[in-house]
Amino acid sequence: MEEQHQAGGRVAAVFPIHYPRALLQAHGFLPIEVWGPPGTDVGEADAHLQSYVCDIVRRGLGFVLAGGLRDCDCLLVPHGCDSLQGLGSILLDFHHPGLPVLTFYLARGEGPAALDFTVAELAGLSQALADISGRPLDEQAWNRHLEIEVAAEAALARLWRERRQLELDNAELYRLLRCRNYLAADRFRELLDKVLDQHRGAAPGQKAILLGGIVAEPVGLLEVIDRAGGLVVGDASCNLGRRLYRAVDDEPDPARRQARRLLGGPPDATRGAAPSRIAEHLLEQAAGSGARALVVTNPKFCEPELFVLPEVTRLLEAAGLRVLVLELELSRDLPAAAANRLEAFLETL
Amino acid sequence: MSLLAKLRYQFMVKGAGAALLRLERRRSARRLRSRPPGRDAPFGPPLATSPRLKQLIAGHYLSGRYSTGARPVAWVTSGGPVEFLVALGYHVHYPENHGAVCGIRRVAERLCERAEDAGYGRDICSYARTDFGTVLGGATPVGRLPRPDLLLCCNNICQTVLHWYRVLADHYRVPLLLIDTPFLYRQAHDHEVEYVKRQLDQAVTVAERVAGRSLAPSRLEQVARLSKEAVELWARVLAAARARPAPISAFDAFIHMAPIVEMRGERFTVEYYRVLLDELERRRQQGIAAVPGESKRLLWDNLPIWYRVRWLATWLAERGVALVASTYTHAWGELAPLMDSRRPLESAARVYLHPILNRSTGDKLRTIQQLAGDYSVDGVLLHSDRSCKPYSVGQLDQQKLLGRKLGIPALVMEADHNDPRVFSEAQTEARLQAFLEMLAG
Repeated sequence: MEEQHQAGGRVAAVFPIHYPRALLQAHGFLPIEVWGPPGTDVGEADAHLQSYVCDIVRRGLGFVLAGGLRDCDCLLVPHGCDSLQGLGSILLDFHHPGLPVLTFYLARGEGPAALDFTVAELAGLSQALADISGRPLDEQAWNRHLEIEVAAEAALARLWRERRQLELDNAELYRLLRCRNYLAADRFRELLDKVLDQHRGAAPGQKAILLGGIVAEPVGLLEVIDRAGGLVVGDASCNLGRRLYRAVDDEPDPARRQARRLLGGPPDATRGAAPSRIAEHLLEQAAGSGARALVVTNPKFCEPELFVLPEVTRLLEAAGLRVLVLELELSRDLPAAAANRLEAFLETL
Repeated sequence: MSLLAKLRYQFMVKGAGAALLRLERRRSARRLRSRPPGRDAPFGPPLATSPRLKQLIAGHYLSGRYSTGARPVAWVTSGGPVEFLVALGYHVHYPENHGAVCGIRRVAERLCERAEDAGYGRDICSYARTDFGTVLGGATPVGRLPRPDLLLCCNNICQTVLHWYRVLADHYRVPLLLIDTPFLYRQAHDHEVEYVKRQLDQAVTVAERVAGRSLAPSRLEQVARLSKEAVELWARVLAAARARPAPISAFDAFIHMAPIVEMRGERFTVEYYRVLLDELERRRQQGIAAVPGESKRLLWDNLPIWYRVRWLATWLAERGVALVASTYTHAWGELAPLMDSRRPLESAARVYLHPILNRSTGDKLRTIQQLAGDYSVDGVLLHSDRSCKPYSVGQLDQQKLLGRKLGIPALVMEADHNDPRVFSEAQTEARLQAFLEMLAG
């Protein structure tokens, strides 16, 4: 953040999930994502949110109210679910956290109407960013940043293809991958390339699994997978895998390209995808990576995930892919019961 | 559609069924008239319109029961733009209303458990669990639900309905029409209205294909006019409770709102609310109170606690407290000015973007403030509904602002609209008692 400010840039704190990263960068804002930071005091947030609101939103609000965004220039709250909607609304209406709060509605519809709407929504967000920075949008920069994002996603895809030849354990791998949440795309890609060159060797685990759900936390989860000989060969989480958008090379207009990328992402419960489509996508991902099981980790009270999981699980298991669903609180260490379940599950693979 | 099914529908719904329901209404009305004064204490005399309401609701479910094969059936979310479906001759079923019926009849818990047995977690909306439980074969008090030919989901009340209807679409393998209504953090922008309008246009095309007929513009205008008329009448019904004492309570309104939610666009709905309004006017002139000896007036926010409506109404009435308004019932009346039957789809785009649940928490606070003034309330009950995050997130701030800045005392009550397992009668009673003592000063 310091580097970004010293270079004359700005920083945008961003709540999950889908948002136009390249547009923010084109306006000179480095997006830094807020996924319920660990170690946050949620006491203040509890005075504003009921107990049945998920940890990501609760801890995120606690972080905002504790002054965690004091070095940021704006806060973007994309519309990801009912709880994030409520969070954006109370921040705008009641809390006024001392920096501009922006919103972005991700269309749940499809087709030309959704595309045109998203283009208009992007134009509104772009204007708001320009108002903060005092600089108009540079469309060439937008296209350039779209290319950089596509390149970073291609590097990520390469990493997953070559996962079995990377001698990183799962905890190390996810420490690297989570840099995507706060590094600029070009810096992230450089880091990935370096790791791909320097850490050649046999991957430590044997039992190939996919990680799904919202976010792979707490970190203790990955350590248990390491100890039990598991190897994460693909990610289908909101935090990572569900944000590997299509490149959309045939679109010269950056606004339409950004919109098509956002609308054409992998099927995701939070954007209203059907359980059957999600299952189909996960089976393809498992077939491509050689995964034999899916481990889903969700924070408690995540309605979008809770709705699709019964049918997705049924379809995956019918197709021979084992599924384990863990509901975890991000604020706590991995509970012993969850660790035991995970170890037992991996033993059966 | 089959001829046999159509004949059966005509006989069972329009012929014998309608005659039996008329007979039952007359019997109920007679029973009501013969009740001795004071029998309904602590409430005032029951609304004479109630048997007519029962007739409408029973008729609606009877129609649904015999619709399969006789007329197209659509399952629709409670805030959905239903007028074009009514104009196309669909029988429209509302899983949320059915959920409320199951809640009132105390069978929702069993249906929720059935859904939970199939893997649906207790942290998802209890209406959805009630519906899944029914779909998975659980017995419902209304007999049998019609199988949908089409699903219409409008997410202007929550995103939950989108996830819910995706599950239904996979289950029934029928088309799902999504009307995606961007949440309004501020006022609606043109691109948001245009987006909804285009989706409505597309939805009409699919609904026509499924129904096998074209939408006649004149019929759509007629339905839209009836819909607007009913919404205006409903708003007047609610406004009757501004009188002191209130001739109707919000508890009554929770029950009498069924037609405005699930029978908009029908002539009989307009007629029903005219009759109800006339009765309320007579009660107002005669000083008949919903709660005799009304001493305090409260406003309700959020969905009702369906399985405890009667208990809560009685508990409050015994203490002379009348619940005179609610943001929930108000939501079906407040948008009448936006409705324009001459431009039914254009105005629908604007109307269906603006329900209270699709507007900001600050806007909801302004609505509460407005209602509190209009209905001269002494305090506000904010039902923190575990199953409805869009309605509930923001209430803790709204409570503080109502008290500190606007001088309106407010109480947050934890519950769930359809799952009794998260409701504690003792805790609720203790909190209400303390709140009333505070109001008494």
